[in-house]
Amino acid sequence: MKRLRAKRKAKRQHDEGKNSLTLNSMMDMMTIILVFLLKSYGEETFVILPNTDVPISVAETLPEDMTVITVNKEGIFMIRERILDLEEGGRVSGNFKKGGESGLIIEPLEAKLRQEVEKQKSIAMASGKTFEGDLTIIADQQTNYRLLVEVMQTAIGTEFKRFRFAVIKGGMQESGRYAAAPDYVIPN
Amino acid sequence: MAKLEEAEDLNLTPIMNMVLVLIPLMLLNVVFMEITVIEVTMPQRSAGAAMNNGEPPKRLQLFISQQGFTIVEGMSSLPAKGECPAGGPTICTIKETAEVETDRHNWLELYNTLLEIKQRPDWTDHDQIEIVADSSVNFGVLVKAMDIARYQLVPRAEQSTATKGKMMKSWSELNEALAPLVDATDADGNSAKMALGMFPVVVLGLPTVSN
Repeated sequence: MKRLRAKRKAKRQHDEGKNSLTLNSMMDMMTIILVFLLKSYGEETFVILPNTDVPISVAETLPEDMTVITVNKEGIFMIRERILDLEEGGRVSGNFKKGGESGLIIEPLEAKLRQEVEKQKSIAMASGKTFEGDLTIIADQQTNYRLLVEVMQTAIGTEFKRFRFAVIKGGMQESGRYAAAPDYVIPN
Repeated sequence: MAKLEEAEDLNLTPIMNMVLVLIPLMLLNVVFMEITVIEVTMPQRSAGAAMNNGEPPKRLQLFISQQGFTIVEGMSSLPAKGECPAGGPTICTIKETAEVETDRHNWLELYNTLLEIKQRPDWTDHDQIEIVADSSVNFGVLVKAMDIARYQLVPRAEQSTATKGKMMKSWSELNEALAPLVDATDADGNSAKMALGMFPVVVLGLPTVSN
């Protein structure tokens, strides 16, 4: 009986030893990573979609939280929602524009922006502010100037009047070039 | 039974220590891109600017095409520079076959020409440049043109002491240059060190027809 009790005691001590693995270092590590990632995520105000090669610029103005349109090789997006697909050569089909091929107003984008303006106005009214009409455009490096102007002219027709081009901060040498990691997605 | 108990008694501390070292190392190697923005405006009407007391409006325009840059000062375009053909753009391309479109243009000449205009007494207070491009010019070229036009630059070593931009002698000097930091007042009325602008207000015009 004594032997059995001693054996049980030894086993209990052995089990206690096994459970005493220190997790302090792991907890420290997890805390540091969590704080670091939370800080990084909290600073980003918008998402860069995959397949969008945002050019590099020396600009230093920080972005603000506002309406964002993405123009890349595949199409035109509002946040993550695809508004329309682009044709070969990064053009909008004349069927989607007022006035056909030579038109500057993209109809599906115009309809979406009108909805967005109404939403932004009601948010502004509820919070006692005024609708400023700010729009950020995240465009692929290869986007042609005509398409950019079409997007901006469409936005002007829906009460947006201040535009910002999103770029990746870099030096003069890299200015206008592709981002280093085109498929990198900035978390929201 | 005793062997089984021994096998369960793994010591994880070295693995934990290794992970603790590896994760900070990996985090240090991750590149987080910093997103910034360039503010631009676009007039609602494409009609010409209004006359100013009978005088032609004071405007500086930069036309970008696949052939190069044409600079229009007031109502007249600057003549072709260097070996550029007469009647063509003010600054023609230097590497027409370059794969990356930004490599085709002569940014050094563009910067020096714009700075030379900015340093003339009648243009010192002018902050606005109108940029118009061919339909086919890509966004990367537009961003580079805005970077060149918006800031005055000096060699890196002179960033904190220079009070105005300097002409750049070579591509490497241009690539390494930085905007001098000068005392200024920010949007909130606070005094701060800010990058010295050249033509910081960018107005985009309707595209011209591609050649």
